[in-house]
Amino acid sequence: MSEPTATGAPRDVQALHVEMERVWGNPRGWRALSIVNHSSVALRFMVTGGVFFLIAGLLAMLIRAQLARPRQMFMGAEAYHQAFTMHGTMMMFLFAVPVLQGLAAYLLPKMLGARDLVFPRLSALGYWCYLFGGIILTSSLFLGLAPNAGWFMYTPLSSDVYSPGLHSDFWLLGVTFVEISTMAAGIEIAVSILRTRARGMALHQMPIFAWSMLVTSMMIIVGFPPLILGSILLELERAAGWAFFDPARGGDAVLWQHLFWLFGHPEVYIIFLPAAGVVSTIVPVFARRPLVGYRWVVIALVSIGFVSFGLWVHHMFAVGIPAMAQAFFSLASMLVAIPTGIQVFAWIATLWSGRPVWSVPMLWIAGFLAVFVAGGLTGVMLAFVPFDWQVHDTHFVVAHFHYVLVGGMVFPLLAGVYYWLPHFSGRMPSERLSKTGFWLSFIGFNGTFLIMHWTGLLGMPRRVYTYEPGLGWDGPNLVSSVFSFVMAFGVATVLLDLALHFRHGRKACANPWGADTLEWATATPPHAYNFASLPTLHTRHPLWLQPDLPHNIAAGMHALPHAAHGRRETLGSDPITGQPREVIHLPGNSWWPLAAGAILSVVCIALLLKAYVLAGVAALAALAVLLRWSWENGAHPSAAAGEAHDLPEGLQLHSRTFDGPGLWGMGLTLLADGALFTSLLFGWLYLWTAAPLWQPPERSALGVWPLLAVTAALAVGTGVMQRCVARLRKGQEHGLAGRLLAACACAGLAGAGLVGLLASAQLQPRENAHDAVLCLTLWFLLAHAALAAVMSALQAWRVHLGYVGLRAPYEPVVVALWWRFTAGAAAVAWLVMVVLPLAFGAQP
Amino acid sequence: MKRGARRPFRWLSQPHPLHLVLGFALWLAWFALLYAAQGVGCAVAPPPAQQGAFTSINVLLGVGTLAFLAGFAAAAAIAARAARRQGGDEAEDAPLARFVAPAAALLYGACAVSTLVVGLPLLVVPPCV
Repeated sequence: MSEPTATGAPRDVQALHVEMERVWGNPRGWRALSIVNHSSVALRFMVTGGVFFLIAGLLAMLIRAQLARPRQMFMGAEAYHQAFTMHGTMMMFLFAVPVLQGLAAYLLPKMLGARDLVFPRLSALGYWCYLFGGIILTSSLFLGLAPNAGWFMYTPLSSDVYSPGLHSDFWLLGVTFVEISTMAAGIEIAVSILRTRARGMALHQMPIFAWSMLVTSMMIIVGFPPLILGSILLELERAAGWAFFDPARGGDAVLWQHLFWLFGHPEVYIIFLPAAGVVSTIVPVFARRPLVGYRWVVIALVSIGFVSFGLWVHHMFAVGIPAMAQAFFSLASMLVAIPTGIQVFAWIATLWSGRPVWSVPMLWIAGFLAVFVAGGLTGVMLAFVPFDWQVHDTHFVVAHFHYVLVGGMVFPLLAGVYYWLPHFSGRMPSERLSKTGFWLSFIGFNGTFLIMHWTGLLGMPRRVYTYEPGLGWDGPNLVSSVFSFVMAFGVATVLLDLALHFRHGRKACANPWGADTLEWATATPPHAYNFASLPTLHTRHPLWLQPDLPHNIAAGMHALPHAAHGRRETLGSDPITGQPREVIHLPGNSWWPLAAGAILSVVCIALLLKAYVLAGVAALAALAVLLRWSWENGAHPSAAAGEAHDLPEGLQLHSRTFDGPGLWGMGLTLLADGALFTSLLFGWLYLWTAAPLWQPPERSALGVWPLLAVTAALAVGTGVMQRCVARLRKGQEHGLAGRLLAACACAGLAGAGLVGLLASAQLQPRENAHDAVLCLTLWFLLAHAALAAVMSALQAWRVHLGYVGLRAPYEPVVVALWWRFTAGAAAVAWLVMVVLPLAFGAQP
Repeated sequence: MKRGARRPFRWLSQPHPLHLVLGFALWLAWFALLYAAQGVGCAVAPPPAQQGAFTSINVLLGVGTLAFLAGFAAAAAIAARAARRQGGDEAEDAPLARFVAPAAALLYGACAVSTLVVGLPLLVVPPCV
């Protein structure tokens, strides 16, 4: 038995490694497709993201070649539209977010002192969804059917009237498919940061990168659902004719803009904050001192996380919103510059007060500071409404957001890649080729986009495939195009450097940069289990203050220094203090994620081809696979192999407690679900208030009582589930299966009520937006009730088999959370869609 | 006050990490409410443009803004007092409290400033033009 706290006797390092590898090791050959380990999956994310970056970069080169001269006919209008739409879409959805999440998934467990992320199979599913979704989306380019309505897909341009064919469908379905990956990673990273930190790593001792990823992940969880909802609405409008954005049928095209930018503006910070975390990690290492103003940087990150949700309308200043609303958003847009500025000053102060060592990562950091600050300043300029009107939809805006996104994400990312390169490969980057790559990229970037500010100020609109000579745009465009190729050579040089590095790079010593954070305590490249034992920390700078830590860890002198039991274990910690609460047992390699991802891609393709029967069958198959996957959980023999007598004193396996990562994962999933549902309610209220032809019927289509009865059935079911949990907490398991079946019956009753309502209410979603929103809400509730029924029934079966009960009481707690959300959503839907219209004069 | 008597806002003076997010979560709710109320107000009963900024919509939103502003300022003051109390604490979780309390005070202060700045247009801009 080992204590989680004490430093134990050293073990033979090689014997311990062999023991760990037997449980954690990755298979080779085709079985490698079943790997779920975070390091492997994260590297796949980064490499795949790099490939998409190159494709999107080639599209950028085509765009610049086309714009180099006036009346150029290198590309036609249609090809150009597809190129710029796919360039933006791929850079935002297939490169920026996945690569940063991949970097975080690789680093965070190592920085936090854990052996893996909390949901390794979810990571793998996320990767397959990302890969297959990305391939589906990219294939549209080769089919000549790529999306062509701009990366933000404004309606009505993206509707079936103005964008017939599959172009927009590829975007809506492909991006939504990829977003499964983004959401999964967001939830997993947030739970991992909160629940798997090393003992003693209280909130104030978390690495700053973990803070930035915690804020980012929470932003993803709340920020992506509006776009997912918007995509569902638009695809329903295109494929099934439902009315959401068509003003003639009571919809409103501006609703799409709201939903898109509710996601879209936070997205900018979702991309920037991880990069800022990278900068805050690297700068102190090369300045040879701790980050100045750690608390201020945390305050800045939290502030940005919230304020960035109050800026979305600044993308819509030109659509005719009242001046007062514009003023609110204009001022909020200026305010967000303050926490961003705090971080910049913290970095400068750290360098100023330290003893900076200049190396390749610092070159990219310096480039980042110059470029990003310039982009931030033009952002403040754009927050002024009159200036925004002047340059709206011009190349000035294109230049601004490339300064922000390339400066704020690509430069820090490359700083991070060079910094952690020895960690990935065990080799150092080259000095000469890497610097050449930086300077070519830096000069090429500024030569391209600095000039583009002037092109925009001269009035050149964006998204035009050619222009007339003599407007003053010829020279600046030619300069931009020439420098864009300089930048391309810079990127190619960086890639060449990275490729050569893996073969010819100088061998790196341990912790080659003299870093302070825990990821450098692993082997380089790391073992699949990261740490042979899990350390106790008392500082934010463990490797500066405890330089013998890597050796002690490898010798098994800390917590959980064995794997002979066959379980993949890591410590579950208190989210605030970092004290151990339980031992989390993690699932091993599996084919289920690949199978689920593959079947979901069939659903996506079938929807694209409008083969709805196939889509339905595949969706059911995917659900079956996911449920089968979930079966190997909790006290299932394959989930918690071996006896659990060798745990640290006072700790249990998480499935034997009432608290574990799954509960937190469900909580955050429901937060995302709640954000989606709130977005739907926002759509309802927005259309009611703003749509010019919104026409609710005189009599409520749903009546007063049916939806209330559904809510009551769900509330009773929730009560039964809560009772199950309460009795388990009291040590009573008698009648557990019966109660779970009773809850299942309640959900069945609620589901039947919803089906009856859908059949009897005579809603006409194709005729008017009012009915379309109601109909979608009923389907939303029906899906939730159905899942509640299935989960409760499966729980009853698991009780019967002995997988759930007093010995393993964890799962009903997780399922009860779903129930509470479902009943709550039904109650809110009843209040907003039935009671509220009655209060404003509708007849019952 | 007697020892052990109920103090309804006692939790506010404790350096719990919830304070790191509570302020801006409420700020965001106020911001959404401000925008929504302005939109609904203009849809239901738009005042004439000639009336300028002194309309019932501006007054109502202004009162709400002042209430939030006062709440944030009070929370910042309470958190600042809690931060001063943490100075010499020897308890095991004192370092965490010494981190959270000042951070919470600054975040509540930032919420107050943000509320004031974003609310300023209510003084000068007519709501529905």
